[in-house]
Amino acid sequence: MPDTPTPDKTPPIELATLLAGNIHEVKNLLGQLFLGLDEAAVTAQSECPKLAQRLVEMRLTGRRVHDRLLHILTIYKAESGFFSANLDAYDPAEIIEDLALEARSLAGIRLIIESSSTAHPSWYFDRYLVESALTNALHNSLRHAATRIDISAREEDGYLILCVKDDGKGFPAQLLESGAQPLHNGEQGSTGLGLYFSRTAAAAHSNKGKNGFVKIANAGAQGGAEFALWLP
Amino acid sequence: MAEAIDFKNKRVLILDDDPGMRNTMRLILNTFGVTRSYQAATANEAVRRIQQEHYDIILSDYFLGEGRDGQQFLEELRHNKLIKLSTVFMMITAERIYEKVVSAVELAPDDYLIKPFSGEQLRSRLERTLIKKEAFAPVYALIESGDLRAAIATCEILMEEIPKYAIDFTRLKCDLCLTLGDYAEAERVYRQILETRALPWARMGFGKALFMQDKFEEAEDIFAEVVEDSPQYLEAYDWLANAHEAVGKGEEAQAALASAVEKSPNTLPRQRKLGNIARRNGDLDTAEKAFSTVVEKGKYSYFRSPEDYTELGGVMADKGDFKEALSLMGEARKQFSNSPEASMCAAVMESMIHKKSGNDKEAQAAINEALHLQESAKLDISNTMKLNLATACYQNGREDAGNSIVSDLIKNNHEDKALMQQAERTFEALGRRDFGMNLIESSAKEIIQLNNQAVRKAQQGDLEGAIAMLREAATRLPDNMQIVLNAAHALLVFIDKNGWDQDYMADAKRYLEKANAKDPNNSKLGKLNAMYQDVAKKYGSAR
Repeated sequence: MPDTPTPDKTPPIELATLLAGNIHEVKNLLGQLFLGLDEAAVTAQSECPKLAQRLVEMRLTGRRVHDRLLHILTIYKAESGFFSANLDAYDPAEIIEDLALEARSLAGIRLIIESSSTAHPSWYFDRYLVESALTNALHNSLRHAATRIDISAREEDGYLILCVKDDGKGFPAQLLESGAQPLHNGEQGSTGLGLYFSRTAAAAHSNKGKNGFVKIANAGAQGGAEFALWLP
Repeated sequence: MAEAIDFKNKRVLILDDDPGMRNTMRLILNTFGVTRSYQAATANEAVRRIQQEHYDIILSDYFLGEGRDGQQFLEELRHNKLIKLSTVFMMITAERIYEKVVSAVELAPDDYLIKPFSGEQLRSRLERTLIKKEAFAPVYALIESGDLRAAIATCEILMEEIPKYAIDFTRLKCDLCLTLGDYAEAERVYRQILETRALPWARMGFGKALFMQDKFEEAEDIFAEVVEDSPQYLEAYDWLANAHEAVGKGEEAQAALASAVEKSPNTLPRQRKLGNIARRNGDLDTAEKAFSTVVEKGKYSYFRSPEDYTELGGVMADKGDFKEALSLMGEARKQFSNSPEASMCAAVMESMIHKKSGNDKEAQAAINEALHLQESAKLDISNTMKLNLATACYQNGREDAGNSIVSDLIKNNHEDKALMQQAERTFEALGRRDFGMNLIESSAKEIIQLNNQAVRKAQQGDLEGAIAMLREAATRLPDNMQIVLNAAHALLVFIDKNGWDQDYMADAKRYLEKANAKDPNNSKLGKLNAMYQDVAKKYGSAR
């Protein structure tokens, strides 16, 4: 892959830039690994279903590694000022459907996945940022849900609201209280980095003086986690 | 849920320089039923395959090695009309450069997929793009038959019927309005879109609509704003440069192009343009750098041109490095060994270089070779090269040959203001401005008079007399779009009024095909294409 950055000739090289470049490369290698796993899982389906299930689990772990790298990179970009949303028209229902497909392939028969959209079929947003934020929420829900995940799109107050909801134990109180700041001493692999990324992605969307934002809550009858992305 | 698409009969071309990735893609495509997938390792190999056979879907990686990228590949395909509008072009990209992919306004891929992706994601994206193409099929068919007016009307109907694609139909309608020359309507619709959201592509389109209506200062402001707010939209720099140039700001135009080139050095047409403007501004170092890049990167391109070498040779001669200039001409002859065009371009430039270095005898020999090549076959060379040929003629005392080249060039392009200015500069450089102006003006006048005479005849009811004049002129001046289009117009009016005429219709068709190939963006062309369709329909012979 010619995707390795050529370091600048003039030393000293900035550590952050060097790290960012290397994270990129690791991320690309992961990409090839995922495609390989996908294909292996399909082949294994008929020959050895047990192995196929293992491969699906490995893929979820790989996805989480990838998510982390992406969040670090995006935040690096935002901090260095190279960050803006690339708006285009998309159908929110399609985003929701894709997310549900991904959820079903990662959850196997463990969870019920429901999706629904009542939003207008044409909204402006940066598909990549929105998908990345929702995927992060989904991967969290996949680990914590008891029986089901609900993914939905709707409109309210001139905002498009994209929502991922599960029926697990909900967000830890610490995370709900921390606001936008990532936590440094993450318990159970939760550092709040993903949430910080999602907030950055939401805020990059603005329209007529209104900015996007994230709402997290422990809601529903079972008190499960509810992640909502509000886009103007 | 998107309804399932049957991928069994779809022909898919996978372009990636990494064999491992190509193979993985093939296996992934297999999992959702694609049985006919084909592979190419380089863009050139892909172009060859596409020229030979049709593909429904092209999956191209952004990084292609050899200093080329997927965006250039896509631009080559679209510029040369190698793929149909219905063909799906999907770009596969790493996250790091996806901004470049989404920032292509004019020639964007149908969709893109960011690595890493799953097989499911690929299937879902392909399905949706195919469904969308299906919705656009009626419009595409009309565009491909040349009936842009009907295509616009269909866009207007479909944007109401399919709200999901409303904005896409609106965008396509605006593009078509720009092509058709209906700039005021395009301006109006873009303004409407901009009232709801400041989308960069709508701002670009708005600026272009203004530019086309000669509102250069307003357009300048708009493009400057886009560059300011969305610096990743490289086309905005190109248009900003155009606008600067139109109001005579050569230095600013060069600066705008230079910033775009800095961000993306691989786009050769932009480098060429930068080279030309820099040379005109007297900035020979920048010109040399730009043309060197064109020559170097062009080596890998299927669409390279011998004139890239002569441009660089010209700059080197301007700098006084005659040895390097001549060696470049030798390289051009070697690189394009079977092309008489290349030999001719090299000979012209060699003559000019020898003249400059004081070697009159060699200069004579070279111009003789060039003129001999020109007489032996009809060569397809650019207008710039024709002016170079004329210069070399004048420099070597071949007055008649020079006069006839310039006069022919002007008569074929008497409406092209930029070319007239370029011709003027050519004579200025020769120190014969007045002589040149005379020649240019009298050549242009001849065509204007001929055209006016024909129009007068038509107005007085002698349509057949007008047709006779215009047909004769169109044969003599096949590259003059005004003459060719007026001839087509007169023929179509005659048939519409007096009934079917096989000969006339065939000529009208031939003229329009020629114009569609040579100058597809001509503002009169869309209306005439539509008129041809109407007449053909009226007499029951649609093509």
